[in-house]
Amino acid sequence: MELKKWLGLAVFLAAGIVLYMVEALYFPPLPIPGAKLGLANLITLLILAQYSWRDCIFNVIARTVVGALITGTFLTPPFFFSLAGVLASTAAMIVVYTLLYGRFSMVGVSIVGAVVHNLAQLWLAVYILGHLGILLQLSLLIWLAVATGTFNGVAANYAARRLSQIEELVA
Amino acid sequence: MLTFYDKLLLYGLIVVGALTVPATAYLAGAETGPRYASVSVGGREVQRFALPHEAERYEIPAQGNICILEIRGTKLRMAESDCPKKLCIARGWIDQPGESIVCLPHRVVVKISGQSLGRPDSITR
Repeated sequence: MELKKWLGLAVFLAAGIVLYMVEALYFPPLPIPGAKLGLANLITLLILAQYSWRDCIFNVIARTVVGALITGTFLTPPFFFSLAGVLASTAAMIVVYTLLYGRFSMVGVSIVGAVVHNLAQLWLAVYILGHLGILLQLSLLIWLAVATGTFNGVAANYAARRLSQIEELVA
Repeated sequence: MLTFYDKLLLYGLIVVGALTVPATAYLAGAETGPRYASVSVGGREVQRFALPHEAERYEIPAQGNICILEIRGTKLRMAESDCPKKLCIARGWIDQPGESIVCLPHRVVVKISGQSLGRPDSITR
């Protein structure tokens, strides 16, 4: 059982890194700095649903570090933005999932994660640049987070259902 | 698929996003002061133009040298200069705060000041 869990987490980690890479390398950048689809968040949601919050945190840190090593941004400013966003959003999603799952489906959890991700990055940008001008992006970033969060949440709902069917087949 | 609370959150955040528009515009607007171009010769400011400015060709008093600055709206360029290498003319148009045109032989510096949102240098992902 222990081995099966580790294998599952390894597969999720690999899948998360691949999604991160695909998004970083093949999707055209949105014209708004800080905005992205966040496909890899789908993996965070699935781990949250299938495993524990500890596995979730370990997974996102490992994914961010390995992803940065591959894209060549490790320990550069984008890496810290990425890490801040991912840690804040994962923490928020864990809290929401633990306390409110049932009322919210994966869509709600995902939207919270996406919004917190963007807010954390924006706050960090304001703090580093010391310039309030970038706050103009706040509403755009919230709207975009709602859109991408809904997309990932719906995908996670479907994926979670299929995965539990597969589990039954294997077991 | 979406529960009631999901939808509540979704629409609620769209409304919150809309509400932040005037608030952030106010905060950001307070930081973007008026923009101006300053012209200095030998380190001393000789002229200042509030931008945007009507189209004008301004002859910079560069100690008898020919040095003509062209202003068009929010952008500026060195139109003419009798300096040897004409690097100031090659600089082309400038329009962002922080940008400058320098003509070293005539000791002329034209600089745009004032804060603005500018445009992103690069996009991190």
